[in-house]
Amino acid sequence: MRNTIFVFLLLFVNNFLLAQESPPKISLTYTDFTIKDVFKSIEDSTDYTFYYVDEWLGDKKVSGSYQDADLNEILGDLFESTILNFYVLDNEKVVLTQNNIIYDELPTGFFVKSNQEQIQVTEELEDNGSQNPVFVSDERLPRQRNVETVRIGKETLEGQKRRYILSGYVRNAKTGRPIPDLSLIIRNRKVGTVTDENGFYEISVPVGENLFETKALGIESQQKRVLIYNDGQLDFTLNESIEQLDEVVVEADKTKNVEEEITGSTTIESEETKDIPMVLGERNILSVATQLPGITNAGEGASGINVRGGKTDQNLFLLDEGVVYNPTHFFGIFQALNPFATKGVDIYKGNVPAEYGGRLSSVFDITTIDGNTEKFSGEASIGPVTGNLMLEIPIVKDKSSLVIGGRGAYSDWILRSLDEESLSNSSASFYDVVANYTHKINENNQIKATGYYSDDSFSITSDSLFGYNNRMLSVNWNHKFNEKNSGALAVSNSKYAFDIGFDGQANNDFLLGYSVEETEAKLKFKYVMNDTHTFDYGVAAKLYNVNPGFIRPTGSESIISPFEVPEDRALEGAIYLSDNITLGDKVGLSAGIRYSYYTALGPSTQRVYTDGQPRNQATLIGSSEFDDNETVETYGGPEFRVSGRYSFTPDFSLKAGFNSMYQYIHTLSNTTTVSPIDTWKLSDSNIRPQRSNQFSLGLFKNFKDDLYELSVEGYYKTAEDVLDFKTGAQLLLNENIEQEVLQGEGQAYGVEFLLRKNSGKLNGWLGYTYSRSLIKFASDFTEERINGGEFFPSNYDKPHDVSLVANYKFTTRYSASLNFSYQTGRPVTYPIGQYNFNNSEYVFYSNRNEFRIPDYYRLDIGINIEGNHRIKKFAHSFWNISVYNVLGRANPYSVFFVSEGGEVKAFKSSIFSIPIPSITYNFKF
Amino acid sequence: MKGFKKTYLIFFFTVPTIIEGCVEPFNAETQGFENALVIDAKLTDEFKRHQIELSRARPFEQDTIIAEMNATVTIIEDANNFYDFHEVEQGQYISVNEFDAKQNSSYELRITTSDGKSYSSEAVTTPEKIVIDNLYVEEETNNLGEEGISILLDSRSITSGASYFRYEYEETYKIIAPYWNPFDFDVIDDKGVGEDGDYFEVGLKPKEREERVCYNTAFSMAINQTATNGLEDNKLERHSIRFINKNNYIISHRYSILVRQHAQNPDAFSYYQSLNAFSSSENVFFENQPGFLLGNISSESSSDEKILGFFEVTAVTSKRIYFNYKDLFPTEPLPPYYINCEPVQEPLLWLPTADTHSFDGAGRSPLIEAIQAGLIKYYATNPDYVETFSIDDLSESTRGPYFAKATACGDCNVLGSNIKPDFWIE
Repeated sequence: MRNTIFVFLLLFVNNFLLAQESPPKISLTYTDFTIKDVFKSIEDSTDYTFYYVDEWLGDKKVSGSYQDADLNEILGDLFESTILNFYVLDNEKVVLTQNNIIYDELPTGFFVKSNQEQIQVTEELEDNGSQNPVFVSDERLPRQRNVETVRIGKETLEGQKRRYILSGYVRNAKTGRPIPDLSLIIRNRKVGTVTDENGFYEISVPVGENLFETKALGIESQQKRVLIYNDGQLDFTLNESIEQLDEVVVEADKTKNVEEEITGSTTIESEETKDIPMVLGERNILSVATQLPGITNAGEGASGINVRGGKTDQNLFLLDEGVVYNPTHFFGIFQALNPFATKGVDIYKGNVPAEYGGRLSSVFDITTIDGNTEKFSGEASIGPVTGNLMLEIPIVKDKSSLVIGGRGAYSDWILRSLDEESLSNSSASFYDVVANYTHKINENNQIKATGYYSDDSFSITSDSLFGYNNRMLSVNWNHKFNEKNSGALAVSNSKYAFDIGFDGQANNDFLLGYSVEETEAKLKFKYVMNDTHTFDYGVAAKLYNVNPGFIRPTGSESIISPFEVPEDRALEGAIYLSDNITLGDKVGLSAGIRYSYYTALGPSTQRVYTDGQPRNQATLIGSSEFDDNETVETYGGPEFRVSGRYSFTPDFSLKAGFNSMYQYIHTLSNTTTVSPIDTWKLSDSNIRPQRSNQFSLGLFKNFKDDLYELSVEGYYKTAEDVLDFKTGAQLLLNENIEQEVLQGEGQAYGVEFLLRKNSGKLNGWLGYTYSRSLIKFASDFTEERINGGEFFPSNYDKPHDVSLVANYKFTTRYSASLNFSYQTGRPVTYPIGQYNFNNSEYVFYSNRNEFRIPDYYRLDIGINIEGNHRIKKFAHSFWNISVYNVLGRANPYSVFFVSEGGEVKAFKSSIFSIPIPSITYNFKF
Repeated sequence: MKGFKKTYLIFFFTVPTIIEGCVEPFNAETQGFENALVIDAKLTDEFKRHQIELSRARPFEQDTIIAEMNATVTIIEDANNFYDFHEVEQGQYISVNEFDAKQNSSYELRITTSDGKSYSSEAVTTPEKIVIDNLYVEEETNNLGEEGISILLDSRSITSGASYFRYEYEETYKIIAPYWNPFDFDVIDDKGVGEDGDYFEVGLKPKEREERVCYNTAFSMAINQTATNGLEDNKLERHSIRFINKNNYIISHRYSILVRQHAQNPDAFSYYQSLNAFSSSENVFFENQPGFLLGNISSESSSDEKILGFFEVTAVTSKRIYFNYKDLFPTEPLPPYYINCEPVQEPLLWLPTADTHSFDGAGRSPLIEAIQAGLIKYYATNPDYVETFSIDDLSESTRGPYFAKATACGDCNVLGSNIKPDFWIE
C-alpha cells in the first residue's frame, strides 16, 4: 500500500525539480476583489496560469496592494486565512491544493522505510518539527459508505507536528442542546475522548487520516473520515437514536472509572433513575445514591445522608454551584429536586476536587439541565404524591433558553397513607420550583442563572405547624480566554429557614424560627498547559448570616415574650490550586491544595469559661464583646487533595488518594436522626471547626469492552472535633449552646465493592460495603464524656450493606426493574433496666449505641412501559408501575420506651411496613 | 440575659405529640442489665416528716420493686444541722423529726448503704416560694379533638428571675353506683342436696355497709413542668394541669383536685425535663437521643458509678378546687359509668350434674358461685321465678330467682372507698 503513495508523490517530484528559476516581480492593487478576480488580474499581467477548483475559493472579498512583489508573497497573504496551499510549476503554472502542501523535496529518511530502527529515528525527528507530509491512501482504511470526509486545517511547512489539537462541540440535532459524556473514538488509532458538560471536546490527533466515531447513549453513532493537517475545529450535530430508551441506570463515562485520577467519585444522571422503583413512584436521585457503596442513611424517613461514615451535616449539596441546605422533602422520603429539570449529580466521596470545600464527607454537585434552544418542549408527570411539570422555552434561537419546573404534593394524604390512626389529625404538603436561564453569548461566553425554592409544611398535632424552606439563587458565567485558558465566575446566595407556629388552647401561642443564609462568590480558572499538565485554580469567599432562633407571641392574647438569640456572622474564604498531571498512558496524578480561612465576625458576645473545666453555668466567668465586623476568632489551614493512578493496562488501574478537609458550620441536633428543626451553627471562640483526613486505595477494572465495571475501594478516615451533645441537651433558642456541645474524634473505615453493567438487555449494579463508623468523646469530666471516653459506633454505623439494582429490557417498550437492599441494623441506645421514681416506672440507659435494631432489608419492583414511538406523536409517554417494599417487611426504624400510667411500655416503629404500590404517568413533548 | 438558663421554654415539645408511623408494642427483654441505686428524695419547705425512698434498678422481667434496706440516710442543713432518717417500711425512710427546708439554706443528702458504700448529693438551696394565683376548670377541646374539661392554673413569679415549676396533683372524685339496692344477697345454704341433703337457698338482707357513694383518690404519675422564662413578666397563665375527657366517669358527679406547685431549681427542672423527654411518646421521624441522665448524687468511692434519681428541694404551694358535672354540663347526660351496667344477669339457683336423677337438687349453684366470687350484686327479684329442684321440671325456660348486675354497678367500693375523705366538701 505504501507503493501507491510513492507513485503519487514521485509524479510531483519529477516536475518540481525543474521549477527552480528566478520568478518575475508583480505589481498589483486590488480592492474588494474575489480571489478569482485577483487570479485573473495576475493572469492578465503575467504568464502565470492558475489551476484550481472554483468551489474552493468562495465569495470572500479581498484587498491588497503590491509593488514588485514575489508571487509567493501575494499568494501567501491571499491564502493566509484559508486552507488553500499553492505550488508554482515551471514558473507559469500555479497549482492550488486544498489542505495538502506540495513538496518539492522528499522528507529526510524517506527511502529507508524498510529499516525499522530508522523509522523510529525519523518519527522522533518529526516531533522536532521536521517535515511530515500527510498522505492519504484509499487503501489505508476500509472505505465505508456514507462516511463523510472532512479536512481540517491547513498544512504548513513550518512548525509541523506529529499531532494536532482538534476540538469542537457536539450538539443534538433535534434539540440543539450540547451532548455531554459522548465518546469520540478514533477507530484506527485506538484513542478517544469524552465531551464535557458543554458538549465540548478536545483531542490530540495524529496527522493524516482518522476515522472518528461518536458513541453515546441514546445518540446515533456517526462516523467521519477526518484528514488532519493542522489544529482545527470540528463540530458534530447528531441525531437521537431509538436507543434513547435504553435502560442504563447509572452511567459514568465509559472508561472514566478506570482513567480518572481521583477515587470515590460517581455520577448519577436523573434521567437514568427513572426506572428504579422508589417509594410512591417519586424519582429520587438521592435515594439512588444511597444504593451505591459508601453512601447510606440512618433509615427510611431519616433525612440526611451519611457518606463513608460521616455525619449528615458533612455533605455539601450544590445546585448549579449554590448550596442547598436540605434537598429533601418530608423527612427525607422525597427529594426536593425536580427530576426533569435536574440533569444529574456528581458525587465525590473520596477525593474531593480542590475547588470544593467546607464539608468533611462529600460533595453532591447537582446540575440542572440546559434548556432547549431550538424548540419549545417539556416533560410532565402525574404520580400518586406529586404533580410535576417542566418546560424548556427557547428565548433566542440557538442562543438562549429558559427552563421552568414546578412540583407539588397534591394534598395531605401522604401521612394518611402511612396507615396510622394517630396521624388522622396530621397534615403535610410540599412543593418546589426551579428555573434557569442559559445564554450562549458567543463561543467563548456562556451564562447560566438558576433560581430554586422548596417549601415543606407539616403539622403533627392540630395546634402546631412546622415549616421549612430552601432558597437558592446562582449565576454562573463561563468564559473561554483561549484554547488553553478558561474561567468561570459563580455567584450564589442560599437560605434555609424553618419555623414552628403554635396555636393552642392556652394563651401561649407563638412563632419560633431559625434561618441560615450564605452568599458566595467563586472565581475559578482552568489552564491546559500541555498534554501533561492541566491546572485548576481559583478563589472563593463566602459570607454567612445565621439567625440562631427567635420566638415571638402570636395573637394579642399571647403571654409569650419575644426573644431572639443574636445573629452570628462569619466569612469563609479559600484559595486553591490543583494540577492534573498525565505522565504517559500509565500514570496520572492529581495534586491539589486548598487553603481555607474562616473568620467569625462581630457583633457578638462570646462567653468565656474557666480553662480546664467543663463548660457549664458554674464555670462561666464572663463574656467578651465584639463590635460590628470585628474578628471574633479565626481558623484555617491547608487542605490537601492528592490522588494518583497507575494503569496496568488501559482497562485496569490502581488508584490511591489522600484528602483533607475543614468544616466551619455544624448542625445542632439532639435526635438520633436528622430532623427538620436541626439548626446550623457557625464555629466561634468556643466551637472549633471539624477536620478530617481520608486515605483511599482502589482497584478498577473494566471487562468486555467496558461492558462490565468492577471496582474495589478501601478507605480510612479520621475526623477531629466532630460535634455531639450532652444527654438531654436543649438546643433551640439556647444562647449558651457551647455548654451543651461536645467535640470529639471520629474514625471510619471500609471496603466497597461495586460491579456494574452499563448496557445491554440486563443492566444495573451490585454493591457490597463493609464499613465502620466510630466516634469518641473523651474528657476528664463525666459530664463531657460519652461511653467512658471510648470509641463507640455512630448512629449510622451499618457494617454490612448490600444493594442490587437491576433492570431488564424485554423490548424497547417494556422493561422491569428491581431494587434490593440489605443493611445491618443501626445501633440504638437500648435501656439496660427499669426503676421506680416519682410515682412511676422509668427505664434507664447506659452506654450509647451498644445494641442494634434488627437488620434491614427491602425489595422493590417496577415495570416501565414506554408509549409507542411514532415520530409525529405529540408526546412520548412513559408509565411506571412500582411496588415499594414488596415483601412487606416492617423494618424496625427505632425502639422507644414510654412511661404511661406509671408503667413502662416498649414500642418499635417502622416507617413503611406494608408494600406500597404506585403508578406514575410521565410524558414528554 | 446573662442569667438565662439552658432550660429555655421547651414545654411545647412535651405536649403529647403522638405521631406513630407504624408503631407496635413489644415485650422488652433485658440486655446487659446493670444494677444501680435509685434515690427518690424530695425535700420541701413543708414542716413535716419527709420521706426518702431507696430502691434498686431491676430487669424488665421483674415487676416488683427491690427495696434498698438498712441504709443510713441523713440530710445536712447548711453543713451543720443533721436530720436523720429511719426506715419505716422496706426501702422507705422517714425523718425522725419534723423539719422544713428553709429559704436561703442549703441541703445535702448523705446515704450509706448496708454494703458500706457512701453517696452524697450536691448542696441544694431552697428555691423561692411562689403561690398559685388561680386554679380553675374550663370546658375545652384538646388538640386530639376530644371534648372535655381542662384544669388550668395561673401563677405569678414575684421575683425578677425566671421560675421553674413541677406539678403534682391528687384527684378525688365521688362515685355513685348506678344500680345500688338497699338489699344484698344472703346466701342461706350454699350446699346442695348431694352434700347436706338440703336444697340451695339464697335470700336477701339489708346492706351492711355504704355501697352507693364512694370516693376514690388517684395521684399524678406523669411529669408536668413549666417555666416562666420567655413569658411576659414571668407570668404563667392557663397552664394545663390535667385534661379529662367529657365521657370519663370520674367527673360524673363531684370532682376535686389538689394541685401542688413545686418551685424547682433549674438543675432539677432540667433533670425532670430530660427524664420526661426520654419516656414520652415520640415523633416517629425524629427520636431524642437517649442516654444516661446524670443526677446530682454521686458515689464517694467510685465516680463512675451510675446513680439513678435526684435529690430535689422544692418550695410547695397547693390549691384545691371542686366542681360538679351538672354545673359544667347542665343539659348533658352523665358520662357513662365505669363499666356497662345494662346487661341484667339471672343466674340459676340450681344446675344439676348429669347423673343426679336419683338425687333431685344435687349439683351446683351458679347464683351462689357468682355471689361468692363477688361478681354480682342484687338488683331485683324475679317475679316469674318458679322454684324447681327436679330434673324433670328443668327446661330451657327455667328462670333464676333474682336479677343481678355486675358488682361495680351496685357496689361503689369496687372503684373507690366508702369513707368520705376528711377534706371533702359537698
